[in-house]
Amino acid sequence: MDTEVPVSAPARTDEPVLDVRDAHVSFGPKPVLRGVTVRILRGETVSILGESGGGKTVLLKVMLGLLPADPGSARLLGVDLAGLSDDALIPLRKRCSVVYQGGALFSGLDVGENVALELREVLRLPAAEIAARVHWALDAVGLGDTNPRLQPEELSGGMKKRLAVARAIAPHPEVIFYDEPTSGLDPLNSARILHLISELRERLGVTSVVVTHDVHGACAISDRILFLSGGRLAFDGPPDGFLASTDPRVAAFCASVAGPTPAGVA
Amino acid sequence: MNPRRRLGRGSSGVGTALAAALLGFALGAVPAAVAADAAPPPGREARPAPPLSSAPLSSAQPPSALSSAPLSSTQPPSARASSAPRLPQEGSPPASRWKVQASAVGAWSLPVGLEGDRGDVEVRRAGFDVLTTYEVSSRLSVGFDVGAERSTYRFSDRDRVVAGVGRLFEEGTTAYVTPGFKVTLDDNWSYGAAVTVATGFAPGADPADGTTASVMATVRRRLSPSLALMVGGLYATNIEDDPLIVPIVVVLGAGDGPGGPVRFEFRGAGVRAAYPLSPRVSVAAAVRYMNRGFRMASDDRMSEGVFRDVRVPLSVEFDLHPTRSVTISGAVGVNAYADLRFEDRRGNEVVEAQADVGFWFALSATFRF
Repeated sequence: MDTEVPVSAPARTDEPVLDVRDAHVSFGPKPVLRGVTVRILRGETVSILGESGGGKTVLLKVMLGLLPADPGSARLLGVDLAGLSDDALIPLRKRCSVVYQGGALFSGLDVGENVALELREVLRLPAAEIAARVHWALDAVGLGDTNPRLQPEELSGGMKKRLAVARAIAPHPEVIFYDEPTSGLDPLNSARILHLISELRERLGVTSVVVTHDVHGACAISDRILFLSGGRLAFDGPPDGFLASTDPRVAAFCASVAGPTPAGVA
Repeated sequence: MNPRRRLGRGSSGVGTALAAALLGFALGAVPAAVAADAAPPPGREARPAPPLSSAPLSSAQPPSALSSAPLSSTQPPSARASSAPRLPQEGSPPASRWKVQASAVGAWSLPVGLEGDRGDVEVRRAGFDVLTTYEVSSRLSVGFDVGAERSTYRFSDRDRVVAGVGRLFEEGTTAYVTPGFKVTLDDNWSYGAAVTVATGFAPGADPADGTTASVMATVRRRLSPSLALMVGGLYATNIEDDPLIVPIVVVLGAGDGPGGPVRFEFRGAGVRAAYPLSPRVSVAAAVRYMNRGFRMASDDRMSEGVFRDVRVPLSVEFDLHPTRSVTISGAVGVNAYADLRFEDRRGNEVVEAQADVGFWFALSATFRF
């Protein structure tokens, strides 16, 4: 990744980028989040861990304003998300990117167009800048040598994930949300993606929120670990503390997902 | 142009709503005529050619239109005047030269999965259509059809369909007007033409940017009391896509011999076989080709792009005619094929997702004046 990053990394500050307070979410009679409070500062990389169905993705949607906290509150980039319409969310969402679990690549567009689409259609950037950003983003994720005319289905699983990350970073977002960025990848590609997330933080100062099952990967790249259990926040602290936690829920989770540390991450 | 998109278009046969609609004009007009000629109602004079009220123009509209096939937009049961049973008319006043047929329809496609792990989609539609016809003379009829339909799409996870910022496509409106005429030369020959101007758009989009137009002309030759040949052509524009030219050659007929009382009716881009159980009740089976296109708004996820919904519904339908002027129809069916496609403002395909086979239901009411 030797392409010059076209933006400077802002200093980490105490400014909260995300501020979720006492968030409750229920689907019918079933509570999914039960009073979760999370504060994420600018420039932080925070991983959200937890068992399946523990509320990780729901919390992510609350942070993005896709699900309301009721009761509770959520602020993204200083804006209260309560009651915001889709239209009102647009300016906020333009400052954020999401890397979806399945990649959510545009199946009808080639590699280059996948990255360029939002730059052209949403940000309305001039063609020269779009070309520069596409080149930079693909290079940043290690796809600089990949034929930009390839279709997504011609890529491997790891390349698809990296393309999804390239698409997310090209608009120069302030916050990137990753939903299971390493799921379905082999250890080598998992390590590559995690290394990329870490490097983006270092080079761009991007605030990163990572939802994952990957304990070792999360601990390797994160400033902080959030652990959700039964819809409640069972742990909020540094990776070392998480791995050393004596909380039975944390210990049980770590034991259940124990595996080798991804090469090149630690 | 994306080659995959082209392949998709080609494989779908007909690539436009208007094409389907106008093809319906050609197909829909004659069966009623043939059927009417074959089996004139008691007490009613068998006319050499049907007036427009038997729906020659009503089909000349997008599949989203309702008059020719009241639920055709939403996968219709039948409520067309031409399919109504011929009830006893003794003592009836002379038929007016003006005829108005108004229809309302609602339909619901149950949630089905989208390929590529893109979640589920559920579709609901509601619409209306008003067809007015005027019999200028025994040989000339003119008609004017107007209607609209609102479609609501509920995607379970729109970010998995098209990742990005803004609305995906939750609502869309289609509207159309179709003026046309039909000329009957003699007992065997007739011809007609219709022009449709239609629009499909999402909230906030400029309806003018979703406008399409089409024109179709056909000539019909009756070959026997129960058989007719129709030939013609269709030219239709598409939103951000090439115009369509379709030659039309159709043989039409009503089962009046070995086929028994089954009536084959062509409407929209599809065929319907109806079996009258009694003067007031009939059942039918149908297959259609439906194609909708919507222009999206500048703030939408596909800014000023195009959303296309192509599907092939199969259905079992019933018609209830409590009076001569009212038809209540219902349908249950499956979408044998459903393809959702998001395109950018230039018509380049961004995401295409086929939907699983799923059930749908529809109800309509048609009133004739």
